[in-house]
Amino acid sequence: MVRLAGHPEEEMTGPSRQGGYGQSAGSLAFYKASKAFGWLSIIVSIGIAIFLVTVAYSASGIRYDGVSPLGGSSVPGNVVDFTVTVTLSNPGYYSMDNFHLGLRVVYPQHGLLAVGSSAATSLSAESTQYVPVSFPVNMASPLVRGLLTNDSKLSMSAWVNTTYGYFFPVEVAVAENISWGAPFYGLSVETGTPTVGPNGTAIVPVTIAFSNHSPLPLIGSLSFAVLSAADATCGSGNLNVTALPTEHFDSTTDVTISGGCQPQGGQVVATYTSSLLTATLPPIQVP
Amino acid sequence: MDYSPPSYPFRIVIGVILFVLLLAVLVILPLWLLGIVGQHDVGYGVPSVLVLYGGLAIVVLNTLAWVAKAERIYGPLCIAASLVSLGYLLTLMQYASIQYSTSGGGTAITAAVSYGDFIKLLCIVPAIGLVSGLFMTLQDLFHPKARLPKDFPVK
Repeated sequence: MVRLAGHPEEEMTGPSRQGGYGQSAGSLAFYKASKAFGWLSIIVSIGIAIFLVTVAYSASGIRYDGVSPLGGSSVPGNVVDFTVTVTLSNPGYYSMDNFHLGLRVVYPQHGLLAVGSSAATSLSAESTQYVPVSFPVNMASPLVRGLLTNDSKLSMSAWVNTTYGYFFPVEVAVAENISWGAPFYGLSVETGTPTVGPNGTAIVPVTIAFSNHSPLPLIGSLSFAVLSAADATCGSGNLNVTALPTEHFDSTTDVTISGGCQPQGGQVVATYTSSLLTATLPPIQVP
Repeated sequence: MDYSPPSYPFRIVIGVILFVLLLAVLVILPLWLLGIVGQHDVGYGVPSVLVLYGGLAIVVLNTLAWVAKAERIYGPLCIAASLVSLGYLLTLMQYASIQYSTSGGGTAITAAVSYGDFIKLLCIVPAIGLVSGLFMTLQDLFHPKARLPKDFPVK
């Protein structure tokens, strides 16, 4: 049966009836190819749709599981290489490729404090990854020395670049004002009543006090020198320091002052040393 | 070989249904989604006009191609629909980024996702459709109507 109502080539249907169009493989080769590509197009469309749904589903499971406590190791030149480890949970089906995390800390109105970054890495699918981020801090810089004894607000910006699901580059940037708690907040020195020592020296009780406002435990030693107003070294001492976060430290030690040296009006220069860092503290005025 | 293409009224009815469905998927749904994300401080950059007219062109060409499936123009219409789809996707690629920003409590977060590479992947579909349309055009050029018994077999 041939029904070609309204078909413009209705009158040319004769060959069909006579078999003139031929249904040999050759006459339908283009048709079959066209159909094959049509099916391929449908299959690819379905594949892409499934891929997109699974990417969205997988991405919804990504979790930021926090940052490890600050760690660090000293490197030559008064630089401490601080390290934090960021934990990311990627339970989905796709990896996070070319993952890079950067960090920048600015002391407002003073300058750039630290720049850090993680190594470029790939976070595999269905896993929890620990990404160490290191940022070297020059403990000798005046900027850092000021922050050892003063609380402040710091501007921190962190950014992440990665490619998720092979086709989706992602950039996330976080800018935050963070409170900096000084590890030696309110560092002060008091000298007690001198007593007579041997060979014309004087024994002066020196009290050093501060509060640890930082999240770092301070476990180390504080070596200090007592200078006169003319910057002559009158004597020196050493204190063991144990000050956990939020703790107040207050300790007194006797310092032998050389004869004729007057600490009043001078200053105390102290250096804190621990397994984590060595830091020279700002000079403290002796009352 | 006999064949039995559907009547024009039937084709037009189905064409209208197809048109509405495609319009919903390719124009109304994307515009609705863009409206929703726009209300949530998400920057997407894709002009609504592009989605409207680009989507409409694809819908019209695909509907016409379906209605004209029994004609020689079917292949060229498939090619045209594929070319317009490719052009639409390539234009969309210029805007293929979504940004989200939020701030509060001293913290500002900005996130951006680019999907230009994904659109390149999507381009595979109309590219395959283009090849399919080319073969269909060649089929009707060299063997007119030979495919009709296959496409519209007598029931």
